[in-house]
Amino acid sequence: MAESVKFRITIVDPQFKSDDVVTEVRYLIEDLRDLEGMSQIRYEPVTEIRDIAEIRVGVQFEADSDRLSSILRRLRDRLYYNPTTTFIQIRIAAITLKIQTDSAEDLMSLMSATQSGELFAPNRDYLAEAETYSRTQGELSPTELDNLNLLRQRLGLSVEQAEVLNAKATGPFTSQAQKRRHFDEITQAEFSRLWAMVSDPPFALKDPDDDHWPVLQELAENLGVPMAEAETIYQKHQQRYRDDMSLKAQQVSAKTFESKQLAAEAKAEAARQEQAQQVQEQRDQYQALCHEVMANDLYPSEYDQGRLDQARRLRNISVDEAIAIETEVRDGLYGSIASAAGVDYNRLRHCLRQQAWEAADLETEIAILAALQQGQQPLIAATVSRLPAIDLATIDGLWSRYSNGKFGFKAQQQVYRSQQQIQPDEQKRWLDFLQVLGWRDEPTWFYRGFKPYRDLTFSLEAPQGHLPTWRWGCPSLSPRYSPSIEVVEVVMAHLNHSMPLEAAAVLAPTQTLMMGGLASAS
Amino acid sequence: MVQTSNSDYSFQLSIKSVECTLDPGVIHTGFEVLSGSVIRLSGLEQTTFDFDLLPQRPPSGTLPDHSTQPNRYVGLRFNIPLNRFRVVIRCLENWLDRTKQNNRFEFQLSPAHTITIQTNQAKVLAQILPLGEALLPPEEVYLTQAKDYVNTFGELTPAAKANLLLLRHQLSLSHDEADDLNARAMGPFKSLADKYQHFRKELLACKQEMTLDEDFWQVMRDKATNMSLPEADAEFLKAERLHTLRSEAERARQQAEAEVAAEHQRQQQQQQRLINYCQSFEALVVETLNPISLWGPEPDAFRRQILAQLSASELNRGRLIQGRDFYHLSSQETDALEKTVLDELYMLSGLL
Repeated sequence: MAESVKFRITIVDPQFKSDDVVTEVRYLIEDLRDLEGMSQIRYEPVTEIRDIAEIRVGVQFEADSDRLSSILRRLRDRLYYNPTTTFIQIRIAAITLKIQTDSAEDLMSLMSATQSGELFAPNRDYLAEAETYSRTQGELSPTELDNLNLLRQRLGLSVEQAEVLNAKATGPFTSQAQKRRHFDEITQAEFSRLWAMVSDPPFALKDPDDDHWPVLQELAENLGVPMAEAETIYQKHQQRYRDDMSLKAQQVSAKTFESKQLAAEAKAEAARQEQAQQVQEQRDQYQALCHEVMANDLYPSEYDQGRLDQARRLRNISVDEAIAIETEVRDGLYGSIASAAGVDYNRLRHCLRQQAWEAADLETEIAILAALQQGQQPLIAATVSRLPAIDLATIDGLWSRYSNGKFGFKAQQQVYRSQQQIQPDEQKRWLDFLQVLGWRDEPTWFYRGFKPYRDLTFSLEAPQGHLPTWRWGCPSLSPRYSPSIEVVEVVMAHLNHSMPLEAAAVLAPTQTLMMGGLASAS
Repeated sequence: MVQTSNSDYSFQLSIKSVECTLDPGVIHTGFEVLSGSVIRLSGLEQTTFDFDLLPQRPPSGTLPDHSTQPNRYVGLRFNIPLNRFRVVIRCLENWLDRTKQNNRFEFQLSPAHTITIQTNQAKVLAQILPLGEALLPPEEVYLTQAKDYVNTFGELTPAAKANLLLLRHQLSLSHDEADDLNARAMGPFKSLADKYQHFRKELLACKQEMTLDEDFWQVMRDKATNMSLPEADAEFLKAERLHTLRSEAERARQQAEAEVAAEHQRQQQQQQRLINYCQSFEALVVETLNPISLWGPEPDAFRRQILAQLSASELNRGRLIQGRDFYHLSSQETDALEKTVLDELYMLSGLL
C-alpha cells in the first residue's frame, strides 16, 4: 500500500539569473512528467519575488511513495549532467527531509534507503513499534511480540517481514539474558587483556575506570543493558582484577624481600668463602714452601728455617699449625712416623733413608720394644698382640717406602698368605715361610738350615720380606735366628688383624709357584 | 575515555519546544533533564549545549529586568558523533516518554541533509531511525569509530570490537567490509605489542639521556600519533628508555668509580705493603740484634753493621729473604725501605 509523499523542489543556485531559473524549472517539470505515472500529477509552482517580478523558482507536488525511487533517480541524473544547486524537500508522514546540493552523490544514500521499504508505512510503523519495545525493555517480551503480531496483521505484513524488522530493532542479541551474557563475556575479556598487559610487562599500566569503563558503558548503551546491571557486572570483574593485582603485588613484594635476603646471605657466604679461601691460600703457600725446603732433606737448613719462620709470621699461621703442616709435608715426602705408643720413629726413618738396613733393623727392634715397654726383653707370643696398629703401619710404611715394597710387614704377610694357600701343614708352613723369607737355608741331612742373625742379608738383594727381622721375638740371635712357630702364628694373626691384606695384593702366581717348589723341597 | 579525533564526523541536533500553553518553567526543566541525560551517555560527557532562551517581554513602557527574571530554556543545540546517532535517538525517546512535550527536532546530518520532525511521542521519533541511519556514510562512520578506538587503546580491545560489531549491524556493513575497515584503522601494525616493539626500536636511536631532548621527542610524538600509539603508552616507553639510559649511565659511572676505587685500593695496598715490610724488617732487626754493640759513629756504618750481623745468621738471612719475596718488592725498594728503618733505629739508638 503506497503512502503519499510531498515534494518541494526549488532551484537555489546563486549563479543563476531569473530567466535561467525559470527555464530550469520548466525543464525540471518536463523531466518529472516524463516519468511513468507522473504525467497526471498536479505540479504546483513555487514562486519568489526577484527584481520586483514574481518568478517560478520551483515546483511542489504529491506522489505515491512507490514513485520516490524513480523521482530521486531522475533528480540524480539531472544533477549529474547539470550540477545546479537544488533544494529538495521530501515529506513522508511526520518526517521532513531537506536536501540542498548540486551533487548527484548526495542522493545516492537516500535512493538506497528507499529500496528497503523501511522509510514508508507499513514497515516504518512496525519497526518504530518494535524499536520502542526493544528500547524500553532491552528485548521483545512475549506480550510485546503478541502486540507486534497483531500490528503485523493489521498492517498486512508477512511473518518473514516482521522477523526481519524485529531483528533490526533488537540487534544481534535478541534477549536481555543474551545481552547480559555478552556484556559479561566482553567485560571479562577486557580485564583479561588488562591482566595480560600487567602480567607481561612492560606495558603502560592503565586504569580500568578511566580507559575501559567508558567503552563498556558505550557497549551497555548500544546493547540496551540497563546501566545499573552493567555497572554491577563491571564492578564484579573489576574487584576480581584488583584482588589479582593485590595478590600479585604481595607476591612480588615477598619475592623481592626473599631475593634481597638471599642476596645478603649469598654475599655473606661469599665473604666467608673468600676469607676461608685466603686462609687456605696462605696455608697452601706455606705448604708449598715446606715442600720446597724439604725436597732434598728431612730437615730444612737454618736458612730455610728462617724462611719458614718468616713465612709463618707473615701469613699469620700459628706455631702449632705450622708444625702440623711441616709434619704433614715431611710425612708425605719421607713417610709417616705416627705412633700410638709415643715412639719416635725419626731415627728409623733416617736409617732407612740412608739405606742402612742393619741399623734400621736394630732400630725397629728398639722401637717395637719401646712401644710395648718391654725394655730389652724379647717378646713372647702373648705380648705381640699389644703392638698398636698405627705403629705397625708406620714401621711397615717406612720399610716398604725405602725398599720399593720389597721389605716390610706387608711383604711378609704376602709371603705367609701364599704359604697358607699351598701348605696346609702348620709345621711345614712355618719352615717354608722362614725359608722363603731367606731366614733359613735349604735343609740337608746334616743341616736344618737355620742360620745366625749376622748371616742374614742386609741389602736390597735379600729376598722379598727378608727385612725387618723379628729379632725382637727371638730369645737368641746366635747361633741361630729362628722365630718360633708360635711367634710366627701370633705375629701373622696380629698383622692380619691390624693391616688386612687386599685380595689383589697376594703374590703373583709365578712367585707362588716358586714358593711351592720350596715347600715341596722342604 | 575514547578520544574523538575527527569533529567533522558529527551531526548537529536542534530541539525546540513548540508548546505554547505549557508553563515555561516545566519546559525549562525538561531541557535541563535532557542535557543531563545526554552528558551521562558514553562519549558525550564533554558535550556543550547552546540553549535557546525564552524571549523576555517586559510590560510595555518598562525596561527588561534581567536580575529578577531567570533565563528559561525553550530549546537547545548540540553536536553528536555520527556513530552515536541511535543511542541519542533512544535517549530522546526516553525523554519524550517522560515529558510528553511537543518539540521540533532537526537533525543536520551533513551540510546537504537535514531531517525535521515535530512530535511529542517517542514512537513517532523512532520513525526517523531508518532514514537517519540510511543517510549516514556507513564506511566513514565505522572507520572513524574504529580509528578512535585505536587512537585511544592502540588496538581494538574486546569491548571496542563488540561495539564495532553492533555498529556494523546498524550500518548494514558486511563482515569483510568491517574487517577491511578494522585493518585500515589499525594501519601497518597488527597489535599494540607490535607498536611497542617498533617504537622501542626507534627510541634505541637515543644512546644518551641528553639526546632524548624536546626536539627528538617531538618527532617521536608525531610518530606515535601517526602510528596511533596512545600518548600514555608513548610517554611510558619514553620513561622506560630514559630509565634504561639512566641505568646504563649509572652503571658506567659506578664502573668508573669502581675502577678508580680499585686503583686507589691497589695504591693503598702497595703503600701498606711497604709499611708492612718496614715493620717486619724492623721487628727482625729488633728481635735479632744487640743494639748496644752497634752504636756507631755515623749512619752508614750503623747500617752496614746491622746488615752484616743479619747476614751472618743463616736463619735471619732466610727470614730477610722471605720477607722480601713475600711483599714482591724490588731490590731498590727494599734497599730504600731498609735504609729508612735503619736510619730511624740509628736515631733511636743515639737517644738511648
